[in-house]
Amino acid sequence: MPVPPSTTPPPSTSPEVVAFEGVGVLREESVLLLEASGRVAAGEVLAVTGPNGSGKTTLLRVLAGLLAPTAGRVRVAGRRPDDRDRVFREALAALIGPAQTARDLTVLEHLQFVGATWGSDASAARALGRDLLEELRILPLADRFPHELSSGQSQLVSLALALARPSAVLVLDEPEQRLDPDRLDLVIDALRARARAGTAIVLASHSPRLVEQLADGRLALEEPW
Amino acid sequence: MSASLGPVREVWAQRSRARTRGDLLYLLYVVAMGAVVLGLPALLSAGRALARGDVLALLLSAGAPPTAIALSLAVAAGLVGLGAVRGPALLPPFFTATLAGGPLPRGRVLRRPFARALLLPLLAGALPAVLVAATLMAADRTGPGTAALLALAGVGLGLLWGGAWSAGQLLRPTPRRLLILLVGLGAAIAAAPPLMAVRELARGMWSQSVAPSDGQVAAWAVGLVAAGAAGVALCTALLGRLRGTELAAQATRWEAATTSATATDLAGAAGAFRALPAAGRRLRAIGGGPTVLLYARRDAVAWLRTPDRCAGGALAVLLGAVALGGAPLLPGPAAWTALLLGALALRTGAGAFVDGIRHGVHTLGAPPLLGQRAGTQLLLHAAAPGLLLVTLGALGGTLVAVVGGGAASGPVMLPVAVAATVLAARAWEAAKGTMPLALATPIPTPQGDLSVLVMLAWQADAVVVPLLGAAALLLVLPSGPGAVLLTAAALVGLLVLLTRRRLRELQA
Repeated sequence: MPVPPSTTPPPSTSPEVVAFEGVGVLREESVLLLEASGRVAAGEVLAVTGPNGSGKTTLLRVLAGLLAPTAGRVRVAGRRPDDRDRVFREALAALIGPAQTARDLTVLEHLQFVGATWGSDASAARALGRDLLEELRILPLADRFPHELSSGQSQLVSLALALARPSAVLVLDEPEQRLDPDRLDLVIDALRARARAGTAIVLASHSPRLVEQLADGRLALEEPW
Repeated sequence: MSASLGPVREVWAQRSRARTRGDLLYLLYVVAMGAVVLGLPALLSAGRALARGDVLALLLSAGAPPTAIALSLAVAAGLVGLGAVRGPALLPPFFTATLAGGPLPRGRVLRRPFARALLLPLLAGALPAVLVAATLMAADRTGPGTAALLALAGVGLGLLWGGAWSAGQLLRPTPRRLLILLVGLGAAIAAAPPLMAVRELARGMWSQSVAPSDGQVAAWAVGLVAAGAAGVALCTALLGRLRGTELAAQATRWEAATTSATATDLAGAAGAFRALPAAGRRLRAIGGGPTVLLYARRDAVAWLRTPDRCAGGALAVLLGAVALGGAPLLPGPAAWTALLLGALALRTGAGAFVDGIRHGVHTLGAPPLLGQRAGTQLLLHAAAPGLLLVTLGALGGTLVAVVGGGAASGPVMLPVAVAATVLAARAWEAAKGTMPLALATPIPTPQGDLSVLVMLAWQADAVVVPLLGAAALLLVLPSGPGAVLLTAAALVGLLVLLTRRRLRELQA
């Protein structure tokens, strides 16, 4: 498994890298997420399940600091999720929705650029990028531009981008989207390897296979209405 | 199957919202009356305002005809390039699939949209010609007959531009590039004598009055109309040769752009026309060194991956810099026209080099992927385009300074300062986001709802602000290089603060 350069160790001494208590999101009259609680330690995988509209993505967005909760308490690597906090940004990598790709960089260059912006030298970042593509068996896509990828290939590249940067916590929204069964196995293997290396993973999924093979804990959300 | 559009038109005319013949006649009446009651008097008033010594001296000088030819050829080259992304013969995607892709002769199907689109270059050619004619008439330098011939020449020029636009749509990439190169070369050759004569502004080509005779104007008018009509006729005959894939791609792109524009997202509309990378795949975009170099190299290699766009952008910036450099040397309205056109060209060309800045803004609201926050990314992405724009600005200004023969720093300072302002304005524009709903709040007045003006101002700020910045810089130019530098620094600083504010709003 390719290993991104080590990140700043979490400042918290708590065994839980991710902890959230009674987290809820209310927008005007609309409940996006009923109270949700959970804890994830380093090396653990928490699977968030539930029907459409139950708030899975909302919870992940809260954990990733993209949405402020209206109730509850959230800590990631001991910090309150906030994009302006560099320690938080270094700790958490997320794939929620399509990745923000640049139209004029090839797939491998995307991975290399991500690595370089986190302090890797260019050749190490390139090697790491190639390893990631190899791991997800999409090395032949290395020289393609984003607009030349199929939807399934785009999903794998997005996942590779999330894995290319250092992180102590991985937050993934339905990583199985648009993948065939063989590719899903590759993704399961890749995520299992990250968990074994100590990464805490929170993922939302509709795939029973992915949840069964990866999850150490489950959080079943219910429709808020 | 009968190759006739008749049944199709019949079905189309039976729609509940179809325009009746009466509607069409009314529309024509409104347009004609608008032109006679509003358009023509406005042009005549503008002509009277321009009928002043310095403008007339330029219009009647020996340098005016070659300059007009050079400008016309440069516009034609631009239109050939435009045809590649949005040609004149275009239908909406549905009709492209059903009509242009069906059993009917494609040429016949496309004839009507082509004719409609020709109105644009016709107006673009005729209006300046009428303005020149009105100016000369107001100064009693020409009679109504010659003025009409000048207007006719403008129509002929418009037809030629229409042909160039259509040729850009018809040609494959390599011959299209060759044609652009040839026409551009023609423009450069035509522009050389009047440019070289700038140093003799006070006594040479530009002060030598050589008003063309009526016979010469008539010959030009007839020649232009004949050539334009022949070009349009040839292109009309070739419409059937347009490729279906190209038509479908252009139609889809145009519809996406108009949808974005209708939703007040002009940046999104412009984005629909940005070329996708197709070359330079093997170039190493990511290298070592400090972070600023990492971003600069990535941006510079990215430009090379859309070579046509990059070359067009660089040329527009350079020509804009030449026009800006020439502005301090020109008198009165000519200086302001050069400033306006130069700043517009520089701003338009700069758009090809700020994709990195746009991408930096797009990372807002997404989980952090890169090691730098959006604001830092914008600063880092500004390094390469900043260097390029300032260099091209200095190059264009130096060209003018050299041919102008003067030791004044104005021709160099102005384009460089405008380039820096334009880059900051581009970053501000990239962080614009969607229009605040509050701006759509009705402002009822006896003259109607004025909220439309507020919305228009919001849409136009990305163009207006660089133009105002360029105007401010031209005004302070006589105060010396220090004043220009201070003003440019103040403008850039203000735009950086405004960009920061927009980024915060987008992030909130």
